[in-house]
Amino acid sequence: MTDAGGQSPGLPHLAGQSAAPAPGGAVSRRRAGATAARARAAARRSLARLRGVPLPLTALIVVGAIHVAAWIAVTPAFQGPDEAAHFAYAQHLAETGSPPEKVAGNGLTQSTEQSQAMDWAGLHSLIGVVGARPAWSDVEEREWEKAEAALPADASDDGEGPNAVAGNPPLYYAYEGVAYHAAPGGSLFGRYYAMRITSALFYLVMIPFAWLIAAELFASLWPRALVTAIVALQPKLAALGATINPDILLAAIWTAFLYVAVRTLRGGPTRGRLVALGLLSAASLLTHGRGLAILAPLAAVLLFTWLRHRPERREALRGIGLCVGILAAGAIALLAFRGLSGGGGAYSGDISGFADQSVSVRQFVSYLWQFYLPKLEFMAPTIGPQDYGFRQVYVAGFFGDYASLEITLPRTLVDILEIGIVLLFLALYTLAVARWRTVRQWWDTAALILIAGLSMILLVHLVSYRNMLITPNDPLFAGRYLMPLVPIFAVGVTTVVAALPRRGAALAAGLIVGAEIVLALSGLGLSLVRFYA
Amino acid sequence: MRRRPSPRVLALSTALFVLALAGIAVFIPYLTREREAVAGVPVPPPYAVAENIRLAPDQQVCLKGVAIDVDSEVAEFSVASNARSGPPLRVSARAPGYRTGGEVAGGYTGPGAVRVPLQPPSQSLLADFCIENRGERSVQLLGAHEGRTASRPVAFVDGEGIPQDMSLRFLDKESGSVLGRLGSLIDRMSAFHPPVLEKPVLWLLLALLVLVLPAAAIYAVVSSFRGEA
Repeated sequence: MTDAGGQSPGLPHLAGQSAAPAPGGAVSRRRAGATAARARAAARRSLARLRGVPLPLTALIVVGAIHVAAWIAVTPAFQGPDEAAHFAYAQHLAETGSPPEKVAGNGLTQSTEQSQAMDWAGLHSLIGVVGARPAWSDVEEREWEKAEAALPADASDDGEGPNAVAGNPPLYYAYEGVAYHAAPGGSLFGRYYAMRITSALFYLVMIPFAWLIAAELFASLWPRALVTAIVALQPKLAALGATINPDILLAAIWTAFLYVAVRTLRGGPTRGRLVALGLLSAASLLTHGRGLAILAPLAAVLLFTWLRHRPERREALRGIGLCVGILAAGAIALLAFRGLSGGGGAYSGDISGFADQSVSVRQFVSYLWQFYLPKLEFMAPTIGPQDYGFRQVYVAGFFGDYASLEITLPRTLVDILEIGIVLLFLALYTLAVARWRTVRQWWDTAALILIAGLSMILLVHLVSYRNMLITPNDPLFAGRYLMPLVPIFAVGVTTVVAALPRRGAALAAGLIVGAEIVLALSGLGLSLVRFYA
Repeated sequence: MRRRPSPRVLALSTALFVLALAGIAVFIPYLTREREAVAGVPVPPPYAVAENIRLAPDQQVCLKGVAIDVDSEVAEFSVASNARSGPPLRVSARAPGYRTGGEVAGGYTGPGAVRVPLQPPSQSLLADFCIENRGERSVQLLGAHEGRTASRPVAFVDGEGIPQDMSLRFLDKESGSVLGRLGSLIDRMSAFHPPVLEKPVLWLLLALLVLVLPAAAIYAVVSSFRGEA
């Protein structure tokens, strides 16, 4: 059925697009006026909301922006962990609409354009080689510009693989494709840095979410500021945020998820929160194989919310259905992508493949023990490198090991940090015992945070163990894999500080912020000297 | 009776103390320490496995397309053979309108680095960098044939391409501190960057990093203690 003007009553917006002066012109003008008024009101509300952002949070967002911008500037192109492969994936997806292949392809791990750019800028031999330096002479820059101008049209889309990261799901790379195409100028380095800058936004997003998590957990203002400062000043996180790597999107998703999960637990389930939980979980699956670990905290938050709030059965089923439905849609999208991607396929080689290996529970438990604690007399030597464990991952790798892991923190600093981390765990345990009543009152929040942390760590250990069955010297467990847990680390530190008497807490907060600033500047200084001195 | 300091004062003074301590004990010594001034690394040393280049008497190895910058005053390569008395070598760098070089007298011991002074060009250029064995014994030069260290300049022995890369770097004659050479370091950082990360932006970023980042972070935490007695 259509009205006199020939428009469907179900599509009123089309009336405004009609070129003919319709009798309903006055109505259109009124509608346009109403829309403009609504837009003005929305803008006013947004402005008011922005004015409502606490000043300490604004200051910490500024801190994060400077921190990550400095890392973007100091880390030469393609020097982040596996960054050349991540860029190659994003470029191929942006140019052709399909990901590169993991094991087959045309023999080109990256496009001709990327290879030539890396050659001229001295970036290939720079990766992980401490004695190397990037090219910085004017003549090399000029010659690269000439070479780039002479490249054939297909030089940017011929990197069909094999690509080591082609098994990753496509969400992050598709997002980077937008920056790739939107970058002005069309030069490779222009596109490359546009992608780094857009990737850094994920790191910046983590800062307000860290604040929101802390706001759910702490009544005073200062613990919120401390949690957020620890996230904003974490040098490894900022260094990762400054490079092209899906790990930073995963960290942002997990931070947002943790906030929504805690909010749901405390404030009760709403349609919006359940949709957000479903969307974030689906995004986690579509970002990285390690994103699968989100299923455990998702199940936990749904169960704990039901236990705490006891919603009506029908309502609860509808809510869970909504959340799980969105997650299922994400999983179907992942499977569809896997089907379309031919030789690549999401998670191939990274998470899948357990069925092919002879897994020994005894060996796995022994490996876990020896990762964290000294080997006991009756144990066989652990699988994989003998000197790779807690210190290398949770301390050296969590705070340092920048670029392609070759920029390490000084040994003394790692010693101090290791002592600090061990003391933190001991203090948290002591606190849990001493304040058992509070823990019991908020058991679900504590359990949710614990489950989130442990599910990620356990998954990484399983993948690491499985990988070492194939290549014993590659533990496939780096400090950056723990970046989604930085907000949990910050909450842990702040919980201990908040338990101190007020003056002691102020002293400790000052000490921690000072130390974090020193750590942030040290990481940048070490990188400056490694690459340019 | 003396008033006890407020939590804000305590947090502020502790943070500033930590920064001052780190500045005096770590940052200033690190930034002012004299260190070799690298002027360029056309081919880095091997990452894992060396595959040296053997030069018989009168043979010459050349790297084509080596970038030589205006501060490349010394060329450094490595002799890999266990020589008690290495043969004399002639080093040269050539490009249209540019020629420089020097001699390494025989009798040096190996393995080890060998340095030859060069006359740097007035502006950076791409040159052929050659080493000729002028002695009567062969000599091995440090090289590699690894994917990790494969570099743009290609090596030739007596005009014939070889698979190895010959390790080579250039140095400034004078050593210098990071602080003393900060301008040069920022200049290098800006290479291959889009205009949004050109030199003036990098200088601004450095100022923000050193001044605004610590101030804003400390402000955020200290000011949040407002109302805490």
